[in-house]
Amino acid sequence: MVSVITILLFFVYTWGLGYSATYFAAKSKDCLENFFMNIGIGLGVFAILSIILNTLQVILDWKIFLILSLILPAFSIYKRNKTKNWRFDFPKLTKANITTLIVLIIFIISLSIYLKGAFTYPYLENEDPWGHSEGIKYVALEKTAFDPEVTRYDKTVDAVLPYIDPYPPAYNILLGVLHQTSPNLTWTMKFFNALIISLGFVFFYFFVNRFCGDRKKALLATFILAAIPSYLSHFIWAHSLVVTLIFPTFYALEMIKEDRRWAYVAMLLIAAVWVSQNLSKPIQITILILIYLVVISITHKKIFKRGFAALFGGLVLSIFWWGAVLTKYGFGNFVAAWQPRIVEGGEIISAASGGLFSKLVPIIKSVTDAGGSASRAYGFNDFFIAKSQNLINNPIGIGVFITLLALVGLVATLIKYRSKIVNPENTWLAVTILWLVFTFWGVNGVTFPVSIARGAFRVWMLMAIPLSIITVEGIYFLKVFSKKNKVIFIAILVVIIVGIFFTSAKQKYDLNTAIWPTSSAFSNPQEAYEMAVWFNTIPDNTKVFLYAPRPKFTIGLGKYSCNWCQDEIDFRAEIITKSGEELYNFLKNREYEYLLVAPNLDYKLFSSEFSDDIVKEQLPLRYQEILNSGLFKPVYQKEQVLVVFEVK
Amino acid sequence: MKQSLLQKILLAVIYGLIILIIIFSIGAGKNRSQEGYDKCIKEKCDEKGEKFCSKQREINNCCQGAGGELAIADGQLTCVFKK
Repeated sequence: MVSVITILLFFVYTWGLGYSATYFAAKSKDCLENFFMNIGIGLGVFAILSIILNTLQVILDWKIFLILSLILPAFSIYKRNKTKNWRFDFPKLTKANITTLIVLIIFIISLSIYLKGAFTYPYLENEDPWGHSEGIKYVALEKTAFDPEVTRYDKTVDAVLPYIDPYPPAYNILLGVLHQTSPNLTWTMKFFNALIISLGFVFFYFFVNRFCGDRKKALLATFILAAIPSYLSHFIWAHSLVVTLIFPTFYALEMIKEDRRWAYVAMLLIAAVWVSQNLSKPIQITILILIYLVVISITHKKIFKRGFAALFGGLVLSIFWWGAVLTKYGFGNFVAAWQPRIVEGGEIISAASGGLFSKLVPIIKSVTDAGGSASRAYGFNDFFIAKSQNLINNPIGIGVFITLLALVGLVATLIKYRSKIVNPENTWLAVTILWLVFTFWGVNGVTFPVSIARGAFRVWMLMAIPLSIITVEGIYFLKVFSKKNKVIFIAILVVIIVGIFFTSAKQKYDLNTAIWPTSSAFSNPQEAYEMAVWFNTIPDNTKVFLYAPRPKFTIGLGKYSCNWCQDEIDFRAEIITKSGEELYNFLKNREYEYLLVAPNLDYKLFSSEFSDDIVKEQLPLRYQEILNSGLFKPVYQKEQVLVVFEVK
Repeated sequence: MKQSLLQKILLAVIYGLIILIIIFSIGAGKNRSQEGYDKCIKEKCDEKGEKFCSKQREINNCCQGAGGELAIADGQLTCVFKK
């Protein structure tokens, strides 16, 4: 199941593309920093490169990405060989490298926890990952990220595959390309999603180190971010990629101060953000970037032109995706796919008739709509007390120690610096405070008079970022109690770390290693579990036809069914009326090996597609035909749950 | 070092926003009651209809946001508050 070659390829693609993107820019003297930031930058370059290739109709094949990621490193090797310059500085045991080593330990612990949790259950959690699995499988096989031209229930936009086209597909392309060399889709999704999130902590460390210019503070902030429950769980969705990309992006923006050519790298990463998730996160991240650019420009009394150019360039570059889908669908259909409530008949429903402004109002409202499946009002305890029982996609809660230290940090910073907080050397503090204000406001969008960010509960993950930085200021403020005695400060630090562990990290561990529920489409949890158990007994990508109208379960559990094939969509639309023989002929023709019948699931899902009376009348008949036709051989049964037939 | 006008404005914005957030947070405290729960449900019903606001998920969101606990009364989901 584990594909070591694909893990290696992931690092080759990302490191190679990161190396190539930064080839002409001045690098850090720290080789570990260069190594890891190449991976972070490469992750973003992969995202935007894959979109450009897709738009140019170049097939999304792993070999193409491998070649593209190796061109410049190979050229470097050639140049070195020519000059016989094979000198390589191995990392020495310096203070900086020891700090990096501790960050790598945080990375390994986080990865272990996320992986432990992800593989605690054999299925995919909740709803989103199943939807992503279809898109990933489609990209892996069809090597494109544009929707197939199919119609389902008279729907042509997003008839199938909800997470590609018009949804920006970079996350699905990345995992799809990885799946081309890693046969088990379930493993590929769970492993690489956890890996991307965990690598984010390493990228965060190097960014904060550049941002505040203090390795120790960066290390503490990394530990805090890793401990905060509301920062990314191992839930499989595009947020894992887009939020992780924040750190290489700000790292590149910081590096512009060292070498202005980093603006091109920042531009690529900003474009990557815009093609990795469907608008809400790119918009929020762009606001964070704008805050950063404006504050730097003000505190340094000089417009940060390169930074603004990178932002503008990134937005323009993302047109490779947004321009393509706008051209394909038209503005009305495109907005409808994102927010159906504000569109009627392909036209934006405006608050008042007439002008452009009235049409913009509902769009702005939808961009800042605090609603969402789990958005609600939050009280002090929701922040103060982190709970092990929590939301799985975006947990909430900070924890006692971190909340108190963040409050201390904020107050102490304002008291200590007063008006000097807008001086150039304190830019990072001013930016952090404004990020905290924006994200805290975003989280409280349901209760504050005005909401400023879409999906309030999903802003928790962003709030964790400035919160972890400002918390470090709280910890450093406590230094005054140590009276410049190092031992006392270390003792205080130990108490804080233990406190954070028991009031935040433990809850995060509990949540992320718990057995998470799966899709509510299953009639009961046992059904999902038993289905996954049987799927694990057959080879990867075996053709299995799930009788119930949720073929994405087959794909999410690592097997194959063609959910985007028009003939299969059409067949499924009338499946309840198809005789056992017709079913057999279809499956044989499509080379399916197995038919999986789960009566409770069938009844539940067919009832939502056909009328209850039809299902009650037709379904038993269909079962009889399947059993008596002699065309299907029962090969596995779990009583009251499922029966698997081999297609003879 | 003398600060520019923009720096002074930025400073005012930072402090102003923090004060605003504190005021909003205090104001948000009103939601932690039966009244807050009723208001939350009413807003959802007005905005997205009866079917939406009677969903368990929405009732739960309003109830948790108001600091209550979900309960069943007369066969229907409702929110109760500890006195």
